[in-house]
Amino acid sequence: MQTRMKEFRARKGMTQAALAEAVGVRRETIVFLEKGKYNPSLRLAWQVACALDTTIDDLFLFGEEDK
Amino acid sequence: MLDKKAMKQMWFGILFGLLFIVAAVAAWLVSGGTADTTGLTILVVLGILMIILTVVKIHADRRYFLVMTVIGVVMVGTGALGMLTGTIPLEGGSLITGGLIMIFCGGIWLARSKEKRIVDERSQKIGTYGTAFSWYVTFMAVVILYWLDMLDVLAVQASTILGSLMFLMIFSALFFQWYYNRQGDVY
Repeated sequence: MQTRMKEFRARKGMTQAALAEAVGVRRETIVFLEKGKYNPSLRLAWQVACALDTTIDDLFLFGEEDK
Repeated sequence: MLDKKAMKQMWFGILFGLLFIVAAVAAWLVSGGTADTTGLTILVVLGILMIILTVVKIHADRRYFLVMTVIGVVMVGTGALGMLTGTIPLEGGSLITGGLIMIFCGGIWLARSKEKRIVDERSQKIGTYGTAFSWYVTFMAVVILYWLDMLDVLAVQASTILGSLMFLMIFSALFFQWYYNRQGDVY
């Protein structure tokens, strides 16, 4: 899974800590999400998408290997 | 205000702690008051600890951990005093052990950074998987020890085995949780 979180976060001018606080998670969770190392729950994915004013579809990109 | 899930978790922990206490009281009653008080006291202390730890963990508030540490200090003090003067009918050793556990758990939490005190879905997931893998490791150890004993390869006391399993469970859980925390996720 790949994410465009970093790009959207930069567009909004948010820090990782600010995003973490906005969605109620640890900053390291945001770090692992941005690296694509953590698969979030649907709820967290939706919360992050809302915080970054985008949609889950735009934020998380799934390839053939994820099927 | 706690959500429905947290309330359910809290009541489950409290119920489990109460079971320890009920088991101790039942054992004492069934034996007609002749059961080993040391073992029963340990069971009661474990039950109380479980209830306190559950409530504290669910609320994850600094004040709860502070209270927990203070209770731990009081338990150690009371236990030590009871052992020295012999005025307390409870086993001083159990009180001191329980108190030290509370000081350790409360102290660790209080020493953590604000960031680390947040319990999010990732930390919960890693915590749960770490505990589950630790259960598998301990189960494998139990199977191995059973066959070593059955085949007369190993001859150790039950208390040694129980002590080893207790430490194996705790440290393997801590290891898996540390490992998955570094990995980012559980798979």
